[in-house]
Amino acid sequence: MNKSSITEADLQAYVDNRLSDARRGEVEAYLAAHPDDARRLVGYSHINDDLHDHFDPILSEKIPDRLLACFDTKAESAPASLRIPFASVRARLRDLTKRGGRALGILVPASPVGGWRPASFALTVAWLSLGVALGWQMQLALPHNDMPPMVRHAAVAYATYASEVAHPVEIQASNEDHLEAWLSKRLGMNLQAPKLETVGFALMGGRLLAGTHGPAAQFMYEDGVGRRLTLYVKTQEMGYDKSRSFEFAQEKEVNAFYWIEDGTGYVLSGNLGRADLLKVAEAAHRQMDSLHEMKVNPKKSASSCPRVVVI
Amino acid sequence: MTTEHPIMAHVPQLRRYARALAKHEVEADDLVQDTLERALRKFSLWQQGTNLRAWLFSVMHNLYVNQVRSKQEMAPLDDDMDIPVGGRQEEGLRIRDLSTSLLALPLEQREVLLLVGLENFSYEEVAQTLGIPLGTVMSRLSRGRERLRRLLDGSAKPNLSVVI
Repeated sequence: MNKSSITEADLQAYVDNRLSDARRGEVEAYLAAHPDDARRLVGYSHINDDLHDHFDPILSEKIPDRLLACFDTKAESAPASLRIPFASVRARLRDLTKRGGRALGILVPASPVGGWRPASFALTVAWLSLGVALGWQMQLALPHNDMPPMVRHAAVAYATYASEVAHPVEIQASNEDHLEAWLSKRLGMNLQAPKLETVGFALMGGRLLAGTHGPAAQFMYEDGVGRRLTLYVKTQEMGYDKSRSFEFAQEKEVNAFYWIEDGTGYVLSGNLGRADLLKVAEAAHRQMDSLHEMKVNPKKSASSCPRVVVI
Repeated sequence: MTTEHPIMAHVPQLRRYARALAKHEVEADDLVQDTLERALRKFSLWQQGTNLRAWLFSVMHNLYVNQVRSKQEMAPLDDDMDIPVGGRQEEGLRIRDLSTSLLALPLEQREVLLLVGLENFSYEEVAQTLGIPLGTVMSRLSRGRERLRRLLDGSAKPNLSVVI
Protein backbone atom coordinates (compact mmCIF):
# COMPACT_ATOMS: atom_id res chain seq x y z
CA MET A 1 0.00 0.00 0.00
CA ASN A 2 1.30 3.37 -0.89
CA LYS A 3 0.33 5.59 2.01
CA SER A 4 1.44 8.74 0.30
CA SER A 5 -1.30 8.21 -2.24
CA ILE A 6 -3.87 9.05 0.41
CA THR A 7 -5.17 12.49 -0.45
CA GLU A 8 -6.99 15.09 1.53
CA ALA A 9 -10.07 14.23 -0.54
CA ASP A 10 -9.77 10.66 0.67
CA LEU A 11 -9.68 11.87 4.24
CA GLN A 12 -12.78 13.97 3.73
CA ALA A 13 -14.54 11.07 2.07
CA TYR A 14 -13.53 8.89 4.98
CA VAL A 15 -15.28 11.28 7.35
CA ASP A 16 -18.36 11.15 5.16
CA ASN A 17 -18.20 7.38 4.88
CA ARG A 18 -18.04 7.51 1.12
CA LEU A 19 -15.09 5.28 0.44
CA SER A 20 -15.06 1.79 -0.89
CA ASP A 21 -14.17 -0.81 1.69
CA ALA A 22 -10.76 -1.26 0.14
CA ARG A 23 -9.97 2.40 0.16
CA ARG A 24 -11.34 2.76 3.62
CA GLY A 25 -8.90 0.13 4.85
CA GLU A 26 -6.04 2.04 3.28
CA VAL A 27 -7.11 5.26 4.88
CA GLU A 28 -7.41 3.63 8.28
CA ALA A 29 -3.92 2.26 7.95
CA TYR A 30 -2.73 5.71 7.06
CA LEU A 31 -4.50 7.26 10.04
CA ALA A 32 -2.97 4.76 12.40
CA ALA A 33 0.36 6.14 11.39
CA HIS A 34 -0.72 9.77 11.40
CA PRO A 35 -2.37 10.59 14.71
CA ASP A 36 -2.62 14.29 13.95
CA ASP A 37 -4.70 13.59 10.90
CA ALA A 38 -6.72 11.06 12.84
CA ARG A 39 -7.46 13.61 15.51
CA ARG A 40 -8.44 16.13 12.89
CA LEU A 41 -10.85 13.70 11.28
CA VAL A 42 -12.47 12.96 14.61
CA GLY A 43 -13.14 16.67 14.87
CA TYR A 44 -14.72 16.66 11.42
CA SER A 45 -16.84 13.72 12.31
CA HIS A 46 -18.03 15.54 15.40
CA ILE A 47 -18.99 18.46 13.23
CA ASN A 48 -21.25 16.26 11.15
CA ASP A 49 -22.84 14.84 14.28
CA ASP A 50 -23.25 18.27 15.79
CA LEU A 51 -24.89 19.57 12.65
CA HIS A 52 -27.46 16.82 12.76
CA ASP A 53 -28.06 17.20 16.48
CA HIS A 54 -28.49 20.88 16.04
CA PHE A 55 -30.55 21.15 12.88
CA ASP A 56 -32.39 17.85 12.43
CA PRO A 57 -35.19 18.84 14.80
CA ILE A 58 -36.26 21.29 12.10
CA LEU A 59 -37.23 18.36 9.92
CA SER A 60 -40.03 17.43 12.25
CA GLU A 61 -41.26 20.95 12.80
CA LYS A 62 -44.62 21.86 11.41
CA ILE A 63 -44.12 23.62 8.12
CA PRO A 64 -45.23 27.23 8.50
CA ASP A 65 -48.46 28.13 6.76
CA ARG A 66 -46.82 30.80 4.73
CA LEU A 67 -44.64 28.18 3.11
CA LEU A 68 -47.54 25.85 2.49
CA ALA A 69 -49.40 28.77 0.99
CA CYS A 70 -46.78 28.96 -1.74
CA PHE A 71 -48.24 25.76 -3.11
CA ASP A 72 -51.74 27.14 -3.25
CA THR A 73 -50.90 29.44 -6.06
CA LYS A 74 -50.38 27.37 -9.11
CA ALA A 75 -46.96 27.54 -10.61
CA GLU A 76 -46.58 30.25 -13.17
CA SER A 77 -50.04 31.58 -12.57
CA ALA A 78 -48.97 34.72 -10.86
CA PRO A 79 -45.66 36.33 -10.17
CA ALA A 80 -44.51 35.94 -6.63
CA SER A 81 -44.75 39.64 -6.24
CA LEU A 82 -48.50 39.43 -6.53
CA ARG A 83 -48.94 37.00 -3.73
CA ILE A 84 -49.39 38.07 -0.17
CA PRO A 85 -48.72 35.36 2.33
CA PHE A 86 -50.37 36.81 5.32
CA ALA A 87 -48.82 34.76 7.99
CA SER A 88 -45.77 36.77 7.21
CA VAL A 89 -46.80 40.23 6.37
CA ARG A 90 -44.08 41.68 8.48
CA ALA A 91 -41.40 39.49 7.09
CA ARG A 92 -42.63 40.13 3.61
CA LEU A 93 -42.67 43.84 4.05
CA ARG A 94 -39.21 43.77 5.49
CA ASP A 95 -38.17 41.61 2.63
CA LEU A 96 -39.57 44.05 0.15
CA THR A 97 -37.78 46.85 1.82
CA LYS A 98 -34.63 45.11 0.84
CA ARG A 99 -35.61 44.91 -2.78
CA GLY A 100 -36.28 48.43 -3.78
CA GLY A 101 -37.37 47.55 -7.26
CA ARG A 102 -40.14 45.31 -6.14
CA ALA A 103 -41.09 47.52 -3.31
CA LEU A 104 -44.51 48.35 -4.56
CA GLY A 105 -45.06 45.26 -6.52
CA ILE A 106 -47.55 43.50 -4.32
CA LEU A 107 -49.89 46.21 -3.47
CA VAL A 108 -52.64 44.54 -5.37
CA PRO A 109 -54.51 41.64 -3.87
CA ALA A 110 -54.66 39.85 -7.15
CA SER A 111 -53.24 39.77 -10.57
CA PRO A 112 -54.89 42.48 -12.64
CA VAL A 113 -55.76 39.91 -15.25
CA GLY A 114 -56.19 36.56 -13.64
CA GLY A 115 -57.94 37.57 -10.50
CA TRP A 116 -57.60 36.15 -7.06
CA ARG A 117 -56.97 32.47 -6.82
CA PRO A 118 -59.30 30.66 -4.52
CA ALA A 119 -57.84 31.19 -1.13
CA SER A 120 -56.83 28.12 0.72
CA PHE A 121 -58.29 27.48 4.10
CA ALA A 122 -55.00 28.33 5.70
CA LEU A 123 -54.72 31.55 3.82
CA THR A 124 -58.27 32.46 4.64
CA VAL A 125 -57.60 31.85 8.29
CA ALA A 126 -54.51 33.97 8.02
CA TRP A 127 -56.48 36.79 6.45
CA LEU A 128 -59.07 36.66 9.12
CA SER A 129 -56.68 36.44 11.99
CA LEU A 130 -54.77 39.37 10.63
CA GLY A 131 -57.92 41.44 10.62
CA VAL A 132 -58.89 40.32 14.08
CA ALA A 133 -55.42 40.77 15.43
CA LEU A 134 -55.32 44.30 14.18
CA GLY A 135 -58.55 44.88 15.90
CA TRP A 136 -60.24 46.91 13.26
CA GLN A 137 -63.78 47.60 14.16
CA MET A 138 -64.66 47.37 10.62
CA GLN A 139 -66.40 45.04 8.39
CA LEU A 140 -64.21 42.28 7.23
CA ALA A 141 -64.45 40.67 3.93
CA LEU A 142 -62.49 38.13 2.07
CA PRO A 143 -60.00 39.36 -0.42
CA HIS A 144 -61.59 40.57 -3.55
CA ASN A 145 -60.16 40.54 -6.93
CA ASP A 146 -60.74 43.88 -8.43
CA MET A 147 -58.38 46.41 -7.00
CA PRO A 148 -58.22 49.07 -9.64
CA PRO A 149 -54.85 49.58 -11.31
CA MET A 150 -54.97 53.20 -10.19
CA VAL A 151 -54.21 52.15 -6.61
CA ARG A 152 -50.88 50.75 -7.47
CA HIS A 153 -50.16 53.63 -9.75
CA ALA A 154 -51.01 56.07 -7.01
CA ALA A 155 -48.79 54.29 -4.52
CA VAL A 156 -45.91 54.27 -6.94
CA ALA A 157 -46.42 57.96 -7.53
CA TYR A 158 -46.49 58.51 -3.78
CA ALA A 159 -43.24 56.65 -3.34
CA THR A 160 -41.70 58.58 -6.18
CA TYR A 161 -42.66 62.09 -5.19
CA ALA A 162 -43.25 62.08 -1.45
CA SER A 163 -39.59 61.34 -0.89
CA GLU A 164 -38.60 64.10 -3.26
CA VAL A 165 -36.79 66.93 -1.52
CA ALA A 166 -36.28 69.48 -4.23
CA HIS A 167 -39.48 69.14 -6.25
CA PRO A 168 -42.13 67.18 -4.42
CA VAL A 169 -44.81 69.15 -6.23
CA GLU A 170 -45.08 70.77 -9.58
CA ILE A 171 -47.19 73.69 -8.44
CA GLN A 172 -47.03 74.98 -4.90
CA ALA A 173 -50.02 75.39 -2.64
CA SER A 174 -49.31 79.11 -2.64
CA ASN A 175 -50.69 79.00 -6.13
CA GLU A 176 -53.63 76.84 -5.23
CA ASP A 177 -56.16 78.46 -7.50
CA HIS A 178 -53.96 77.96 -10.49
CA LEU A 179 -53.20 74.43 -9.42
CA GLU A 180 -56.85 73.50 -9.13
CA ALA A 181 -57.84 75.24 -12.33
CA TRP A 182 -55.06 73.59 -14.24
CA LEU A 183 -55.73 70.11 -12.92
CA SER A 184 -59.48 70.56 -13.35
CA LYS A 185 -58.93 71.43 -16.95
CA ARG A 186 -56.62 68.53 -17.61
CA LEU A 187 -58.84 66.02 -15.87
CA GLY A 188 -62.04 67.46 -17.24
CA MET A 189 -63.70 67.79 -13.87
CA ASN A 190 -64.15 70.35 -11.20
CA LEU A 191 -61.33 69.46 -8.89
CA GLN A 192 -60.57 70.99 -5.55
CA ALA A 193 -57.90 69.92 -3.14
CA PRO A 194 -59.63 68.95 0.11
CA LYS A 195 -58.74 70.93 3.21
CA LEU A 196 -57.09 68.60 5.61
CA GLU A 197 -55.84 71.02 8.24
CA THR A 198 -58.42 69.73 10.69
CA VAL A 199 -56.68 66.40 10.61
CA GLY A 200 -53.24 67.95 10.72
CA PHE A 201 -52.18 68.05 7.10
CA ALA A 202 -51.51 71.12 5.01
CA LEU A 203 -51.53 71.19 1.25
CA MET A 204 -48.05 71.42 -0.26
CA GLY A 205 -49.19 71.52 -3.85
CA GLY A 206 -49.78 69.11 -6.64
CA ARG A 207 -48.78 67.75 -9.96
CA LEU A 208 -50.17 66.16 -13.05
CA LEU A 209 -49.43 62.48 -13.59
CA ALA A 210 -49.81 60.25 -16.56
CA GLY A 211 -52.53 57.96 -15.23
CA THR A 212 -53.32 54.41 -16.15
CA HIS A 213 -55.84 55.75 -18.65
CA GLY A 214 -55.45 59.44 -19.20
CA PRO A 215 -54.15 62.03 -16.81
CA ALA A 216 -54.33 61.91 -13.05
CA ALA A 217 -53.83 64.55 -10.39
CA GLN A 218 -51.72 64.24 -7.30
CA PHE A 219 -52.14 66.54 -4.34
CA MET A 220 -49.49 66.36 -1.69
CA TYR A 221 -49.92 67.18 1.98
CA GLU A 222 -47.55 67.38 4.89
CA ASP A 223 -48.05 67.47 8.63
CA GLY A 224 -46.09 69.19 11.35
CA VAL A 225 -43.54 66.43 11.64
CA GLY A 226 -42.94 66.08 7.94
CA ARG A 227 -45.10 63.07 7.21
CA ARG A 228 -46.45 63.30 3.71
CA LEU A 229 -49.61 62.10 2.10
CA THR A 230 -50.81 62.18 -1.43
CA LEU A 231 -54.32 62.23 -2.75
CA TYR A 232 -54.47 60.83 -6.22
CA VAL A 233 -57.46 61.65 -8.35
CA LYS A 234 -58.35 60.14 -11.63
CA THR A 235 -61.41 60.26 -13.84
CA GLN A 236 -62.93 57.54 -15.94
CA GLU A 237 -62.37 54.99 -13.27
CA MET A 238 -65.29 52.93 -14.39
CA GLY A 239 -66.27 49.42 -13.56
CA TYR A 240 -65.39 49.54 -9.89
CA ASP A 241 -67.97 51.99 -8.77
CA LYS A 242 -69.95 49.57 -6.72
CA SER A 243 -69.31 50.15 -3.11
CA ARG A 244 -68.95 53.86 -2.45
CA SER A 245 -66.66 52.75 0.30
CA PHE A 246 -63.11 52.96 1.37
CA GLU A 247 -60.89 50.15 0.65
CA PHE A 248 -57.51 49.69 2.16
CA ALA A 249 -54.30 48.62 0.57
CA GLN A 250 -50.89 48.31 2.06
CA GLU A 251 -47.44 47.87 0.83
CA LYS A 252 -44.10 48.36 2.44
CA GLU A 253 -44.59 51.36 4.66
CA VAL A 254 -47.15 52.82 2.30
CA ASN A 255 -50.76 52.50 3.31
CA ALA A 256 -53.56 53.56 1.05
CA PHE A 257 -57.28 54.05 1.24
CA TYR A 258 -59.12 54.31 -2.01
CA TRP A 259 -62.63 54.89 -3.11
CA ILE A 260 -64.47 55.55 -6.31
CA GLU A 261 -67.37 57.86 -6.83
CA ASP A 262 -69.23 58.47 -10.00
CA GLY A 263 -66.38 57.32 -12.13
CA THR A 264 -63.75 59.32 -10.27
CA GLY A 265 -61.16 57.34 -8.38
CA TYR A 266 -59.36 58.59 -5.29
CA VAL A 267 -56.36 57.09 -3.59
CA LEU A 268 -54.98 58.51 -0.38
CA SER A 269 -51.49 57.16 0.20
CA GLY A 270 -49.07 57.70 3.00
CA ASN A 271 -46.75 56.05 5.42
CA LEU A 272 -49.08 56.69 8.31
CA GLY A 273 -50.66 54.09 10.50
CA ARG A 274 -53.92 52.79 9.21
CA ALA A 275 -56.04 54.45 11.84
CA ASP A 276 -54.44 57.85 11.27
CA LEU A 277 -54.73 57.50 7.56
CA LEU A 278 -58.36 56.53 7.87
CA LYS A 279 -59.13 59.77 9.68
CA VAL A 280 -57.59 61.71 6.85
CA ALA A 281 -59.36 59.58 4.28
CA GLU A 282 -62.69 60.25 5.94
CA ALA A 283 -62.04 63.97 5.95
CA ALA A 284 -61.02 63.94 2.30
CA HIS A 285 -63.88 61.66 1.38
CA ARG A 286 -66.44 63.92 3.03
CA GLN A 287 -65.27 66.90 1.06
CA MET A 288 -64.96 65.16 -2.25
CA ASP A 289 -68.24 63.41 -1.66
CA SER A 290 -70.07 66.60 -1.04
CA LEU A 291 -68.67 67.92 -4.29
CA HIS A 292 -70.08 64.92 -6.05
CA GLU A 293 -73.38 65.11 -4.26
CA MET A 294 -73.81 68.72 -5.18
CA LYS A 295 -72.98 67.93 -8.71
CA VAL A 296 -74.67 64.62 -9.26
CA ASN A 297 -77.35 63.96 -6.74
CA PRO A 298 -78.11 66.90 -4.53
CA LYS A 299 -80.86 65.10 -2.62
CA LYS A 300 -78.82 62.23 -1.45
CA SER A 301 -77.05 62.33 1.83
CA ALA A 302 -73.49 63.38 1.52
CA SER A 303 -72.26 60.92 4.06
CA SER A 304 -71.75 57.37 3.06
CA CYS A 305 -70.72 54.67 5.40
CA PRO A 306 -67.05 53.84 5.03
CA ARG A 307 -66.33 50.22 4.74
CA VAL A 308 -62.85 48.95 4.97
CA VAL A 309 -61.86 45.79 3.32
CA VAL A 310 -58.70 44.33 4.63
CA ILE A 311 -56.96 42.96 1.64
CA MET B 1 -55.38 19.70 -1.06
CA THR B 2 -55.02 17.84 -4.25
CA THR B 3 -52.04 15.80 -5.30
CA GLU B 4 -48.99 16.91 -3.47
CA HIS B 5 -46.53 18.85 -5.51
CA PRO B 6 -43.21 17.01 -5.88
CA ILE B 7 -41.42 19.99 -4.38
CA MET B 8 -43.42 19.66 -1.18
CA ALA B 9 -41.43 16.63 -0.08
CA HIS B 10 -38.26 18.72 -0.02
CA VAL B 11 -39.54 21.54 2.14
CA PRO B 12 -38.31 20.15 5.47
CA GLN B 13 -34.79 19.71 4.10
CA LEU B 14 -34.85 23.16 2.52
CA ARG B 15 -35.83 24.60 5.87
CA ARG B 16 -33.12 22.73 7.69
CA TYR B 17 -30.49 23.87 5.27
CA ALA B 18 -31.72 27.45 5.25
CA ARG B 19 -31.69 27.54 9.04
CA ALA B 20 -28.10 26.43 9.10
CA LEU B 21 -27.16 28.78 6.32
CA ALA B 22 -28.91 31.95 7.38
CA LYS B 23 -28.48 34.13 10.40
CA HIS B 24 -31.81 33.57 12.06
CA GLU B 25 -35.07 31.80 11.77
CA VAL B 26 -37.10 34.45 10.02
CA GLU B 27 -34.43 35.04 7.46
CA ALA B 28 -34.24 31.31 6.91
CA ASP B 29 -37.93 30.88 6.25
CA ASP B 30 -37.92 33.96 4.06
CA LEU B 31 -35.26 32.26 2.04
CA VAL B 32 -37.29 29.07 1.86
CA GLN B 33 -40.32 31.01 0.80
CA ASP B 34 -38.43 32.84 -1.91
CA THR B 35 -37.04 29.53 -3.04
CA LEU B 36 -40.44 27.89 -3.20
CA GLU B 37 -41.97 30.81 -5.02
CA ARG B 38 -39.27 30.83 -7.60
CA ALA B 39 -39.09 27.08 -7.95
CA LEU B 40 -42.84 26.76 -8.38
CA ARG B 41 -42.82 29.53 -10.92
CA LYS B 42 -39.95 28.02 -12.82
CA PHE B 43 -40.92 24.43 -12.31
CA SER B 44 -41.28 23.89 -16.03
CA LEU B 45 -37.57 24.60 -16.34
CA TRP B 46 -36.73 21.66 -14.16
CA GLN B 47 -36.03 18.69 -16.35
CA GLN B 48 -37.95 15.61 -15.40
CA GLY B 49 -35.68 12.81 -14.47
CA THR B 50 -32.92 15.04 -13.22
CA ASN B 51 -32.15 15.63 -9.58
CA LEU B 52 -34.99 17.73 -8.17
CA ARG B 53 -33.29 18.12 -4.83
CA ALA B 54 -30.13 19.48 -6.39
CA TRP B 55 -32.19 21.81 -8.54
CA LEU B 56 -34.10 23.17 -5.54
CA PHE B 57 -30.98 23.70 -3.49
CA SER B 58 -29.43 25.37 -6.46
CA VAL B 59 -32.36 27.80 -6.64
CA MET B 60 -31.88 28.51 -2.96
CA HIS B 61 -28.15 28.92 -3.36
CA ASN B 62 -28.56 31.49 -6.10
CA LEU B 63 -31.16 33.43 -4.19
CA TYR B 64 -29.09 33.47 -1.06
CA VAL B 65 -25.88 34.47 -2.75
CA ASN B 66 -27.67 37.32 -4.45
CA GLN B 67 -29.25 38.43 -1.22
CA VAL B 68 -26.00 38.34 0.62
CA ARG B 69 -24.31 40.18 -2.17
CA SER B 70 -26.96 42.83 -2.28
CA LYS B 71 -26.61 43.31 1.43
CA GLN B 72 -22.88 43.50 0.91
CA GLU B 73 -22.38 41.04 3.64
CA MET B 74 -20.15 38.94 1.52
CA ALA B 75 -17.03 39.43 3.51
CA PRO B 76 -14.14 39.64 1.09
CA LEU B 77 -12.39 36.94 3.00
CA ASP B 78 -9.84 35.03 1.14
CA ASP B 79 -10.35 31.33 1.38
CA ASP B 80 -6.86 30.90 2.64
CA MET B 81 -7.02 33.59 5.21
CA ASP B 82 -7.02 31.81 8.47
CA ILE B 83 -8.67 32.58 11.73
CA PRO B 84 -6.70 33.22 14.84
CA VAL B 85 -6.69 30.09 16.93
CA GLY B 86 -4.91 28.61 19.87
CA GLY B 87 -4.23 30.26 23.18
CA ARG B 88 -7.17 32.59 22.77
CA GLN B 89 -9.67 30.87 24.91
CA GLU B 90 -11.82 33.90 25.54
CA GLU B 91 -12.43 34.36 21.87
CA GLY B 92 -13.02 30.69 21.50
CA LEU B 93 -15.63 30.68 24.21
CA ARG B 94 -17.45 33.51 22.63
CA ILE B 95 -17.93 31.69 19.40
CA ARG B 96 -18.27 28.17 20.55
CA ASP B 97 -21.87 27.85 19.58
CA LEU B 98 -22.19 25.84 16.42
CA SER B 99 -24.51 28.26 14.66
CA THR B 100 -22.28 31.17 15.47
CA SER B 101 -19.21 29.35 14.36
CA LEU B 102 -20.87 28.35 11.13
CA LEU B 103 -21.61 31.96 10.39
CA ALA B 104 -17.96 32.75 10.91
CA LEU B 105 -17.14 30.65 7.87
CA PRO B 106 -17.05 32.17 4.43
CA LEU B 107 -20.34 31.46 2.74
CA GLU B 108 -18.84 29.29 0.05
CA GLN B 109 -17.27 27.02 2.65
CA ARG B 110 -20.39 26.99 4.78
CA GLU B 111 -22.53 25.90 1.87
CA VAL B 112 -20.32 22.98 0.94
CA LEU B 113 -19.87 21.89 4.51
CA LEU B 114 -23.62 21.92 5.13
CA LEU B 115 -24.62 20.26 1.91
CA VAL B 116 -22.21 17.43 2.60
CA GLY B 117 -22.35 17.12 6.37
CA LEU B 118 -25.97 18.00 7.01
CA GLU B 119 -27.83 17.32 3.79
CA ASN B 120 -25.79 14.29 2.83
CA PHE B 121 -25.28 15.41 -0.72
CA SER B 122 -22.76 13.47 -2.70
CA TYR B 123 -19.75 15.53 -3.68
CA GLU B 124 -20.94 15.42 -7.26
CA GLU B 125 -24.35 16.72 -6.26
CA VAL B 126 -22.73 19.57 -4.40
CA ALA B 127 -20.71 20.45 -7.49
CA GLN B 128 -23.86 20.38 -9.57
CA THR B 129 -25.88 22.39 -7.07
CA LEU B 130 -23.33 25.11 -6.60
CA GLY B 131 -22.07 25.06 -10.16
CA ILE B 132 -18.45 24.52 -9.19
CA PRO B 133 -15.91 21.85 -10.11
CA LEU B 134 -15.58 18.79 -7.94
CA GLY B 135 -12.05 19.78 -6.94
CA THR B 136 -13.37 23.06 -5.62
CA VAL B 137 -16.00 21.21 -3.61
CA MET B 138 -13.29 19.13 -1.97
CA SER B 139 -11.02 22.04 -1.19
CA ARG B 140 -13.82 24.12 0.24
CA LEU B 141 -15.00 21.20 2.29
CA SER B 142 -11.54 20.64 3.65
CA ARG B 143 -10.95 24.29 4.45
CA GLY B 144 -14.38 24.79 5.89
CA ARG B 145 -14.14 21.81 8.16
CA GLU B 146 -10.74 22.72 9.40
CA ARG B 147 -11.76 26.25 10.10
CA LEU B 148 -14.90 25.19 11.89
CA ARG B 149 -13.02 22.58 13.88
CA ARG B 150 -10.60 25.16 15.12
CA LEU B 151 -13.38 27.54 15.98
CA LEU B 152 -15.12 24.86 17.97
CA ASP B 153 -11.93 23.62 19.56
CA GLY B 154 -11.33 27.10 20.72
CA SER B 155 -14.23 26.48 23.02
CA ALA B 156 -12.26 23.78 24.80
CA LYS B 157 -14.04 20.87 23.32
CA PRO B 158 -12.26 17.77 24.60
CA ASN B 159 -11.33 16.51 21.21
CA LEU B 160 -8.43 14.45 22.46
CA SER B 161 -10.49 12.08 24.45
CA VAL B 162 -12.09 10.33 21.53
CA VAL B 163 -10.46 7.78 19.34
CA ILE B 164 -11.78 6.40 16.12
